[in-house]
Amino acid sequence: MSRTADSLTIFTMIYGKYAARMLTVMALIGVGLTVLSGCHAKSHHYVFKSKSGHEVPRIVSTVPAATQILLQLRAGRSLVAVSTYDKPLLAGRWRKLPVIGNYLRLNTELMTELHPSRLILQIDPALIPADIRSLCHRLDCRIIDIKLNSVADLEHTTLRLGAAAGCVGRARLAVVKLAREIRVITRQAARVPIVPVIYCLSTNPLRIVGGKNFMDDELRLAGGRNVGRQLGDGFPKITHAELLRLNAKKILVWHPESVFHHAYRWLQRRYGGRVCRIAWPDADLLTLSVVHKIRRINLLIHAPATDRAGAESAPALHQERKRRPA
Amino acid sequence: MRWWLPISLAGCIGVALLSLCTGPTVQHGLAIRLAIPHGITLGLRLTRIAAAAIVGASLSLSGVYLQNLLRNPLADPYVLGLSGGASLGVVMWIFCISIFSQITGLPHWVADMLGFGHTLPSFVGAALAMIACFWLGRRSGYGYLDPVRLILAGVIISTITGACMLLINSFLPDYDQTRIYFYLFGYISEITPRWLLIGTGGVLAVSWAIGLQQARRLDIASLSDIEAASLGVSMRRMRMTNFILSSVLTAASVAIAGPIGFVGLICPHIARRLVGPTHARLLVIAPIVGAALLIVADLITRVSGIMLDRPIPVGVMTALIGGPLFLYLMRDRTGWR
Repeated sequence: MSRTADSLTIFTMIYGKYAARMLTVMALIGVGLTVLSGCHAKSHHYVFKSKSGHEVPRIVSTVPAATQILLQLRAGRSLVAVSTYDKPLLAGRWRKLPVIGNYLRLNTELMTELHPSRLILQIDPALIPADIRSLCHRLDCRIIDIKLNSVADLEHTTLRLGAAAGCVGRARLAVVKLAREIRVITRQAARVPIVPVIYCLSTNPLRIVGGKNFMDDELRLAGGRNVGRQLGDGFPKITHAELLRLNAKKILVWHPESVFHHAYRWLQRRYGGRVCRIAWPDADLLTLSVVHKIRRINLLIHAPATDRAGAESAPALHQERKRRPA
Repeated sequence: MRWWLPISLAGCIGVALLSLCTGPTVQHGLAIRLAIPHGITLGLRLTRIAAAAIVGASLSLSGVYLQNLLRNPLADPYVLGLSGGASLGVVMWIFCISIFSQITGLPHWVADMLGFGHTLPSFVGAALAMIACFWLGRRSGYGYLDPVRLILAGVIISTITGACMLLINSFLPDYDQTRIYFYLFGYISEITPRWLLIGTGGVLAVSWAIGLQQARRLDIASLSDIEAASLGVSMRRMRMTNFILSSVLTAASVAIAGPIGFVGLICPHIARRLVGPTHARLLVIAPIVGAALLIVADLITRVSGIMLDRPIPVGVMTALIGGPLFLYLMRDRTGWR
């Protein structure tokens, strides 16, 4: 007890003399607070109204594919923020949309400021983080958990996104058109010989397209046989020895980065003209332009092997590009 | 010299106010706005500032105790492997949740709630690391902690926990790997539970009071063991108290914000430059400096999240602020000789 009293005495001796100074500082802080309160500005939220005067839903999308689908449905006005992964894929005025974070960590304060009415996620419902759930509950924001694992999922997801953005009619039309085009390319694919293909998503480490995903569906619809399915579902990582063992006729490489990387050059040396470089940036997204992508893959895998790699620049593809409007 | 307490306190409150008033606005595109918030935003920012202040103060106080305990100016809460232990606890918890969810189909968020987010596993991990460090750092025959053995034990524990984390990480699916990746960067959340803040604040207050109560003996403990013993200070008890206090403070701060480095190393040195080595003053100034440093780092993180679209992790910010500051202090003392 006496020891505590001693400590208190020492403390008072050392710091007691600071009391006046502390009070001065506190007074200065009070003045500062008063000045800052002058800067107070009321929070306003963007309220978009459609031509008919209805309020447009406020959507935060953390799924790049969903963002692209919304833009393709001409429902971009309802987007109030996107994820960090979306930004490189957006163009024009959509590039100015605020970035909210990603599906695991949202900028809570920005969410509160934007006050969205819908949050789009693509995640197993059991894996949605508890803090995102509670934040959405607090902001009265509905979570729209979409599924885009196969081309078949696209129809349902488009309808859900259309309903969320208030453009059900356009979504239905898009779905009907998509179904018709997929039927056409399925018939076309049945008429050409099936080509064994490997689709590499990265070359170092080597990650390929396995079974049971939408990219596997794209290869099948383009008239290819994904030999990567043998190595598992999803997007398995493999070794170069396994790649050689798969014995594919065409190697598609999604390689938007440098072509001078040693891993890519190894593929070129080993497979020569059988390597086709896919340069479009949204190759790993399942959007309403999937049919266009399937056609391009079809041209790549059925083009005759050339001496040089990079069949993206094959004459047939150029013709296709000329034929199709941008 | 006597002005340092009010000045540092004013500085800390000033940066807290600046942090409170700085936030995003979407009125004319995304920008930074300086205004006093209200409603939900006020609550969110206050929580974040309180969490940053508590974590910064705890780490800084822990650094003071450890530098005294180990008589080493480079000691910080992470040198004893406590941070590594806490991080390994969280990584193992995520691994267990992943396996358990795959078997039972239990949602991750339910399992997360069972472990109070990452709080319980990080606390248990830090406690286990502390016990291991204590066991390895004992000097046989003497029955008390040997500073050199403690540091060596800490380095070994850090290495082992790092290797274990990498091993477990390689077995996890992508989603869980991403969770771990984000955790290890350190993050101060606006929605930190109140009970966690209050609990850690309580731990901080108790540790601070105990430290102040034995400030004189801490000064004496800075001398050699023989000199301290001749002045009537039991080094055995002193080291044990310091060790437990610093461990609990580190575990609590890692539970809130994940592993954030450099605060525990740099803040005691800054405080020592301001008020000298006397612990009665050091123990008051160091937590204030720690709180201010972490509030500034967190503010920069928030602003970078708005301006650059990607927030710079708070652990990176503390290192970027603390590193040059440490170099400056070192240069000032030795003149680059």
